[in-house]
Amino acid sequence: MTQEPIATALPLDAPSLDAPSSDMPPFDMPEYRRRQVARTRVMGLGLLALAVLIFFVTIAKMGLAH
Amino acid sequence: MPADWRDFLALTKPRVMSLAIFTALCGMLVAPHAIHPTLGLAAIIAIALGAGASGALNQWYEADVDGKMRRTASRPLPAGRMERASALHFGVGLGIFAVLLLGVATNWLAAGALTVSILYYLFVYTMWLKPRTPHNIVIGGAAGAFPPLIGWAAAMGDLSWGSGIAPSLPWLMFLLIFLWTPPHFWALSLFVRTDYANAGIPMLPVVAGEAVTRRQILLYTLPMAAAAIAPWWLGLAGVLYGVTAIVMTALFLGLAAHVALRRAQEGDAMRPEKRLFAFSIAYLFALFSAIILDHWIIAA
Repeated sequence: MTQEPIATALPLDAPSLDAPSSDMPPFDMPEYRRRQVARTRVMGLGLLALAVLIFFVTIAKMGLAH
Repeated sequence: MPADWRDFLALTKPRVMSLAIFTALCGMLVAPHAIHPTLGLAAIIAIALGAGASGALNQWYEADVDGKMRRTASRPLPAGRMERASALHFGVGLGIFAVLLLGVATNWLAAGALTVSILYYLFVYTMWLKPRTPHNIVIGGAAGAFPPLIGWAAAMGDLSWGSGIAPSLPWLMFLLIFLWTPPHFWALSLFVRTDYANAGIPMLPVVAGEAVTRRQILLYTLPMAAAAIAPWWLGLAGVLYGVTAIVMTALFLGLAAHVALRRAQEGDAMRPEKRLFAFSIAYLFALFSAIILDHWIIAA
């Protein structure tokens, strides 16, 4: 019975594919978090405004129906 | 890195959106049947979101072309601040939501008109006409002319033409924006001609040259002038609108004639063309404001 080699594509001493290359700008974690938080806030406010709008639209339509 | 929320806002072309909001509001306010204020507000929000969806889908499709033009190279997609798929998902989601909101808040005729305007802008103007023909803006201009019709439909639930060959007021407003679009855009395309040429967009100055474009600006201003005065002429608007339309249209004609009769020199600053472009925006705001004021004066 022959055993299949597990990983033959890269030699063991090859650099990791996940390692950042020297020409890549460093990842800006604070900026990433800032954008994420800002987007979450905008989305939250948008959904809140939408809920309020739908509520008042419903009230207005019920008023017109009567 | 996720795109900033301001990039999503930029995707909606807020300045174009403001014109859609304003003209839709005019269509809604001049309707004989007053809409419930809350439903009117919801309708305007829906129309604004629909216009934003059109802008986002336009930028999604034209990302490569935008990158070749100085005027548009800093937009989120060509500048690499956003992934293309995000713009597509945002535009489709916003469009579907806008149509549903308008249908639920007002009626499905208005929602249908909003759907047609979004699809017309994307498929007819952006994908089909713009890269193929110098008359892209003539036929494609209809997309920007929809908002007053949608506003009227939201209030009235009706979009009938009028009687005989005389159109009703919302259709005249549609016609005015439709005929205003070519001189407005051709004035712009005269001073960003190189941009359009670099991007391979067959705008009239690129394909037919400056002289033809200047002549066409004046020629298209004539039917636009007729459409501008028609509401007063047909008795659909009062004296305030009539005077505003006549004065502003005379000024528009004067500026268009100046542009038509001159030839740009080497290194020309293109001031008359820029003046015409800026004035054309003020012109539309003035005429639509006058229609509302006139309507209120008559109602009072």
